[in-house]
Amino acid sequence: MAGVRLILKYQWKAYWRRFMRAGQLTQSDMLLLLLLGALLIFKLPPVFRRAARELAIGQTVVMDQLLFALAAAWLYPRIEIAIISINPKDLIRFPLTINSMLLVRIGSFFISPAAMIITAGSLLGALPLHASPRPFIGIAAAILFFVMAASLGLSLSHMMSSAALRIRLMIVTAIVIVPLGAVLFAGGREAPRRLASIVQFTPMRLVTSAATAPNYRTALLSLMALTGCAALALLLLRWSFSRSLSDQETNRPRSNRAASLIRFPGRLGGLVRKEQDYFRKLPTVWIGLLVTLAYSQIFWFGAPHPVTFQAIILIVFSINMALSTNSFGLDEPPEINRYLLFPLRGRDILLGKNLGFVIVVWLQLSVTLPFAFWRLGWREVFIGLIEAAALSFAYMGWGNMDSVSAPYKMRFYRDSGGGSIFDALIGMTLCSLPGVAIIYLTRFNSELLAVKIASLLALTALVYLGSLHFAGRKFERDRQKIISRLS
Amino acid sequence: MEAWDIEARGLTKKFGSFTAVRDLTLRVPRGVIFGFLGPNGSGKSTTVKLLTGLLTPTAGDALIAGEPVTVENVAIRRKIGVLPEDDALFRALTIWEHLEMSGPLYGLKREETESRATQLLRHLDLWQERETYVEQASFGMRKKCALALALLHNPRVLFLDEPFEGIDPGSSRNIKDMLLTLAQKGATIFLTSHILEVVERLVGQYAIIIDGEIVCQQTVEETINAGRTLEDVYFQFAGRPAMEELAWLG
Repeated sequence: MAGVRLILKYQWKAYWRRFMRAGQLTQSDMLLLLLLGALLIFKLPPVFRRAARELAIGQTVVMDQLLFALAAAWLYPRIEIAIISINPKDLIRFPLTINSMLLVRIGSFFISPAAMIITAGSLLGALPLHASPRPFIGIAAAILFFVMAASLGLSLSHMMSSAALRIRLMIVTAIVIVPLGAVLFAGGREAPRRLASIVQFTPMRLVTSAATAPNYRTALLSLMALTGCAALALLLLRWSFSRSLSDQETNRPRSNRAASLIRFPGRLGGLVRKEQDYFRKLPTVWIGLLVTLAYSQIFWFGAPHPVTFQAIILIVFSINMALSTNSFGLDEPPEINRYLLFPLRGRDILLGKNLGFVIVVWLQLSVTLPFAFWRLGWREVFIGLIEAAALSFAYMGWGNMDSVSAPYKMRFYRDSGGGSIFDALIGMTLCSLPGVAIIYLTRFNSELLAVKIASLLALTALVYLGSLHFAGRKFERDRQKIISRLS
Repeated sequence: MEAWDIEARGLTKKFGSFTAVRDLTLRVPRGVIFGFLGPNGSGKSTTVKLLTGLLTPTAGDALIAGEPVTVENVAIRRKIGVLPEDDALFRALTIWEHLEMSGPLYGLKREETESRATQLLRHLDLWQERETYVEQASFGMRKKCALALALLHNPRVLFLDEPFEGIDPGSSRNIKDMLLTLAQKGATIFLTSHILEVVERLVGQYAIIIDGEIVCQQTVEETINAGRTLEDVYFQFAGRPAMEELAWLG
């Protein structure tokens, strides 16, 4: 245990040193966090009171929603490892047992402020259960539920670290997400209700049923079921951790690699291919593909409203936002040095990255195109393509400036964890504007539509060209700052 | 007037209050192998970075073949080949992909790139490992890959930061022969190394840098004529760290 404590002490030091150095919490972030904090303080107590009132009379709708939100938050470990300084795999050299290393792993997770906030939020979230008919059993069930959710989140993170487990996980995710997404997309306005009915069959329902059970026998049964779930999740955590320690990334023959999705011609071809190689190692890219796959399923049952097609294009771009706004995030400092050794200007390097981004996002969108053509007709597909082009210019235009101004570290097989929340919110709003404008113009203001859309496209293209030039210069000027932020 | 392929004029680099390189001036003529020696942390790699444009100097100028080295000067980067301290490789690409990607950036046709890459990898005994991802490659393999990248476009000036570190004896011999041939053909080579015997056999001129300042610059011939070895000169300036009695060891 002394070894675990010592490592955690240095992990704590290293984490905060890195956190401060990378400037991940900017002044604008602090302001936004304060605003969000204030909102939570003023918004949450009424929700808690409502949940408590409901629980007191045996109803569970609000509490179920609260538990659902907290369970989603516990999936956070998929992100967090990007900024953890000592990787669990690096611990193998020390004379520690697997259980000790697992303790280090769990302890390290709770070092991050986000993990602390989730823990505090979960404990607060369990408070309304005191008003339920069986408060002690309810709170115990909630704690078991959080243990289970945290274990699942961490297990997911471990599975993503192992090449073999990652593929299996992706297949399972696709099998679950695509039909589920299709059901929700097909539901339209009914989607929240359908989601609520799906929630009925998840372990979080066991918490509220334990708290509102008519007798002790039913309450204890729910509690026992949750204990079983938590035990299984802990076993999964232990197993996935030891697998992630022992699994080595294996050399795959090139013929098996799906890397070269599109061979881009010209001298930048190699760089574009490299970007595709890197991007396909990010979960967000696959999530985007799953979303378009799920959406495409609804075409089998008839023609959806064309606006849903335009909306899905907007959604796919927002899912891939980090690829354009943090183009250097996946590059290690030596890799930035390699860019500088190539006989290329900053704008050429950014152009290579932009082309990689465009290919990856358009490939995700291409899944829906044949379906849209089939059910919605060529006009809607054409408008969709124009929207995608305008969004590409907007995301790359903003993204180039953001990439060289505030880069942050990203890791393969992890969600993007870092960067300024403030920048991300502004970026997403601004970059989505051309898409929203095209939706508005095509649906509500179709007079001189071609001229308006062409002007919008030209404007976004112009903004993009300007950003390529300025961001390219800034990259050349601030290369050491970028390297330092990524190290 | 002699043609200097590498020239540094009062080159200074400060990181905050720390001065890594101080008022460094040196000239390397064309076709010379120049050894740059010094203890760890003396400023060797920083100098290489300044001369290749990876770092911007706080003061002074770096010139390659008479042209200033700046980040905007793309033409300079076509003339130089660099094996940097950190190898500067993309961890998720294979060794072959690195070469395949780099050739066209220097204006080489695909066939020419593949032909040169094949020859280089065979010469460096890296052909069998060409499909290895850099992140899975050994230290020596990464070094050889970075060296192949530095040579692929047949540069006029080569900067090699510790080229023999982690390299097996057979490949090391091949590299030495290749460098000598390159210099005979008119290429200029600027190399840093801690292996003094290798430097003594390979270089024509050398400089020793201590705490960011050049303390000695001469030809190997001058050293030999003075009846000394490179090791003698090196220890005269760099000294040796004090020996601790590690009685607990063993």
